[in-house]
Amino acid sequence: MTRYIIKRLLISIPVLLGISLVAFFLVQASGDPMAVYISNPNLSAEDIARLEKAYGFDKPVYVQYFYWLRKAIVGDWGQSFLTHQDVLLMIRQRLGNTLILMGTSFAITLIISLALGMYSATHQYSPADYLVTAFSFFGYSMPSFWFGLMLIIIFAVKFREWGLPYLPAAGMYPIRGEPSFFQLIRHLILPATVLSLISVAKYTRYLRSSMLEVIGQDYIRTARAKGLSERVILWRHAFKNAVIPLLTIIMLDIPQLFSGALITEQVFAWPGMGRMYWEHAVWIDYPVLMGIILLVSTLVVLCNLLADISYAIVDPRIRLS
Amino acid sequence: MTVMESSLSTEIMYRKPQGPWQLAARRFVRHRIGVVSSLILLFIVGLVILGPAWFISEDAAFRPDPMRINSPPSADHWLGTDEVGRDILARIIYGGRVSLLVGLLAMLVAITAGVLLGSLAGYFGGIVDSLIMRFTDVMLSIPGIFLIIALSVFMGPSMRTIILAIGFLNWMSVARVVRSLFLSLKEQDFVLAARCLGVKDGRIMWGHILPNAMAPVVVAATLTVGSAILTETAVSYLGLGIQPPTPSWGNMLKNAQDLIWTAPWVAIFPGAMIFFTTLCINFMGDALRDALDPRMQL
Repeated sequence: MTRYIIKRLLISIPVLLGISLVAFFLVQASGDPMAVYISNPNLSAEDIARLEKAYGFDKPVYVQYFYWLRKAIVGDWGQSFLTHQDVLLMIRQRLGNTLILMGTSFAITLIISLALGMYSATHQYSPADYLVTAFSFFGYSMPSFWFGLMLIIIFAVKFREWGLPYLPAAGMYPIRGEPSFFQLIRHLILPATVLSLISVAKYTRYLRSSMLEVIGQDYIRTARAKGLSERVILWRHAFKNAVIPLLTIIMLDIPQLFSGALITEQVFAWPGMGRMYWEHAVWIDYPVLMGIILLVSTLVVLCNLLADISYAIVDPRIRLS
Repeated sequence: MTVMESSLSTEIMYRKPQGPWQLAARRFVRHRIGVVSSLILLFIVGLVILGPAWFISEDAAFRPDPMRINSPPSADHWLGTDEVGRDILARIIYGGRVSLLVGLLAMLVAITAGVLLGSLAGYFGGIVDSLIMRFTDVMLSIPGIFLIIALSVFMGPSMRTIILAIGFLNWMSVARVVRSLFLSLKEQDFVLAARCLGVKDGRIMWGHILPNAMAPVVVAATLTVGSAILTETAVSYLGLGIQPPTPSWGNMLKNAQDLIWTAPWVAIFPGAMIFFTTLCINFMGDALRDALDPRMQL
């Protein structure tokens, strides 16, 4: 077991280095990091040359990469070109809001897709099963930003016109008044729904097919023959085995969840990290972009690592292969 | 009894042998939603290609008309007009050309890269395989939208940028599938036979093995078009993809958010087109998967 964990840890180091390389060369080498300064009329050519030297942009790209990496490892992720704040500090201020949104949507996703997936697997080819299948196709064909706009039209605009209790269309708290937990929940409903839709559609289908596969196996027949109740068979025997492949899918989907969060935050003006990324991308503020890409990818790698280790604990077959 | 037996045997005798593609076509036709979706898709593609020549004028799509700003759907403008008075139906048709083209070309980039890297990794194995697969892991760990936004900003938002960016961020699953197929196919006798005849590696890979691995690639290609359309429209909605005045289904929604209080039709129709087109593509991909899966017998 220990050997397996060490092996997995060692594999993730080159992956992390690879991520930093890809991010660095795509972000820094494909654009002009001095663009913010060149467009500033108050700076002369000599000033810009001096700044270039101060930031190390006059050196070859691979030298810049090693400079940058050496600093990044010890937690110095540079300063924003735009606000001159520390990048790590800026990310920390926004990361929490993104995690609130992602966490809520993740909880919704799990509850709904478990319920729908289990129901349609146990009622295969029933009208409800077809309905669930249709829903999942609708779900992952839906452009999430448009789904968000439609929800705003219905629940924020129309409900208000009709005099029904309506939901807020933007932000995390009302502009006036005290921020409260109740207000947070009210503001969370629409964005969390939008962010959940695709994952619910996907996981429902996966759970359905993996449950159907497990239910067809011999040990389930044995359990039935023993006279166990259907509930025990489904939840204690079948579900436990069916959920393992689903966990892999969920872990592999974390990058998409971050991508989805970026778009959702944009639609609902949610003050999270994705929105900050977009705001700073427009200004070509590359230390912030690098920082966010690096942080998000590192989180993804860590989650994959944790997932792999926990499977190895749950399922001894994995360790052998 | 004898009658039944003889009719059965004649049926077997007179049934023509079917090629794999004929079998696949028969299976595809049985997936009714898949067939209907393909027909709708054909209609959308036809409308987008022929529409301008047929009943839509370029003026309606591009020339602002201050007299009809944000007018609701009517007999003259079936889907209403936008914030500068352009006809939304006309813009959907012109925008569809862009969005569908971006989806198709991005798919071609992604499939080419995926097949190339996957086949190299699977065929040669060893260090080539490890390097390519680690690179795949790296690319899978970075959330796509973040890199696409960065690329659009740095290379300047344009159609070429968005096609390349989406293409280079969607090849990973294809590469994995192709690699695993190559791993098993390269052990088969026909590869050994080809090698004994002195056929070169490149020809074995793409002339002999690849045709046997085409079925999942075709399915993946179809589904990639759908996800590429979703990505393009999302990035264009964020203002970093296709730039106005060129319409795309995504950038038509860019200003819609400010208008949903007064002119909701501006937001509804372009998004509905994205949704239905992607839905049809996904159903078609599902039908193709059923049709091309050799495990399913008919």
